[in-house]
Amino acid sequence: MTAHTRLRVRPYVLTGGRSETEVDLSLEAVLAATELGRTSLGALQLEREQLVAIAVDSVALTEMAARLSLPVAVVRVLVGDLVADGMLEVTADAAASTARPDVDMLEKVLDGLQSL
Amino acid sequence: MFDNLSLRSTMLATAAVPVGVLGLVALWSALSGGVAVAVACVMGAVVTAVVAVRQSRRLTERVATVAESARRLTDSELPALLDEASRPAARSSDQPDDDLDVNAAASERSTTSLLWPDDELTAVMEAITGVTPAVSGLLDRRRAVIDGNLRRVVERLTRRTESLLNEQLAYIDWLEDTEQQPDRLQQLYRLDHLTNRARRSTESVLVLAEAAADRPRSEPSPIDTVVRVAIGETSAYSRIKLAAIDPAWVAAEASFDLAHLLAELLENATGHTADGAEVEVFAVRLATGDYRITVVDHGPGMAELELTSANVLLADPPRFSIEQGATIGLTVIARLAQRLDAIVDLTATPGGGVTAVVTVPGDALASAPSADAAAADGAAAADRRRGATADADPETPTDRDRPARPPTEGRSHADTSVEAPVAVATGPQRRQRSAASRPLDLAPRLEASDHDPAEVQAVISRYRDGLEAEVAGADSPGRERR
Repeated sequence: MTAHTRLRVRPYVLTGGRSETEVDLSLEAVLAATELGRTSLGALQLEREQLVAIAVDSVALTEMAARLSLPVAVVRVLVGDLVADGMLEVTADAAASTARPDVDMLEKVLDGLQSL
Repeated sequence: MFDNLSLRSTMLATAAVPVGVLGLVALWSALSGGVAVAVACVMGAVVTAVVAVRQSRRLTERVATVAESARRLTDSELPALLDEASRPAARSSDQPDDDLDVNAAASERSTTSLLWPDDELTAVMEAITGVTPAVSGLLDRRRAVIDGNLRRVVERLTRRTESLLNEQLAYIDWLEDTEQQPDRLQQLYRLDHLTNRARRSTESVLVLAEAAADRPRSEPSPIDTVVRVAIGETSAYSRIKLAAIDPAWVAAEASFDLAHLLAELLENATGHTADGAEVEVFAVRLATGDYRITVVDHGPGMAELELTSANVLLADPPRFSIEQGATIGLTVIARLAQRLDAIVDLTATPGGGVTAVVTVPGDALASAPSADAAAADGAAAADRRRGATADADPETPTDRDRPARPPTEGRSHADTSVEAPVAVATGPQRRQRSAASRPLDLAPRLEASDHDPAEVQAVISRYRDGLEAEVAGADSPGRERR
């Protein structure tokens, strides 16, 4: 076994057992720290502190998850809490404004994938 | 059985010979006019008779003692020893009185025989005295062999269960990482929680069986990770509040045991408080260099006597025994504390409840990893994050293969300042960066989308074609645009 030979905080501990957010938040959401968030830096706990610090420059939810090496589903719940608390704000959320991606964008995705 | 009376008369009869001879000499002396000689002989006869009577009495007493010892040996001591041996697990708690009797009898015998003259009777007494310790030692050795075998069987079976549970957890990890549906994720969390609790109780069996910790050493863990791993192994984890935590790193070899110990304490605390009542955890570094973790509950608490006996047990845990029953949790805590060289003390919480104080020696802490290492190698920072939080990809073999590098920052997550994420951002692992940069670029454009479903479909099918071409190794016709 590889995975559990080291200590890993279980995801349900990080989210307090929740899998749903209070605010509507898609995985494509881009977030930024609010004024309250910035001034609260240094007084927040653990992942909350790290997430607000990352979002000082606006950043995508998925990138936040990648930087903390946390499951996206966990970060989504934590970020949802921070948005509800007024520490973070959603600056862009594709899923909230439209149901489907446009063709230009898909072309770019294709380009990107092919150039990998 | 001896007939004391007949033994004694035999001895007296033997003594009567010199007395009779002296009496005859005295009579002869008196008749021939030697008064002085006659008087001396009479006195000699009297003294001889008295000495003979006294000696016979002492000898009779000694024989009686030997006889009594032999009787007790066969009638009670040996049966008691054998009886005790037939119940291997029921030792200390069940039959302390018998044990005491046997020992007391043996020591009484040996002190008795010490006062005796060095003769054949004493030798017999010493032989009888030696029987009980010899049998007892033999039985102890046999019991040790049986106990050892039993422990090995328990250990082997438990390790198998533990390894199955670890496999199950890895599978749950994978499911959780790929699941996006909140309601299904919720179910997975419950399964995850149950599996973690099962693993903890499995590991408790290993602790009780005095099996050595067998988890591969990895790298130091931040104390907040250790505490929260413990919280995750507790039934009512959502009632536990991490109230304060000073930054520290726990040495790799201590981290699993400490997490297990804390989980047992948290289980006790949440188990003895009402639903909805919070249990608080405070983790502070002491001026002495030691680290102290305090678990505070506000439940009904324990009586003074209960607290005292619990602390006695914590300080000196009993051996593995079937009779442990209600104290199993405490015994596990005590054993783990011994391994960690930590001190666990229970006190009353002011206003009601129990406060458990764990003092971990400074040796169990890892030194704060240096800042230079962070600058030199950003990937180490990412490693630390992985250790500190969660593995995005738990099944990658690199988890084990990656060299155990000391984490790069001594700072705890509790007081991470703005710098912490910067350190991560300067050198994330390549895979993470490429995964992360794309959504950044795409998201704003997604916002202003305007589309025709047929066109979208066309793009998707071309994408698929391109992938297939690439897999087939053809020189990618899919790369060409429309």
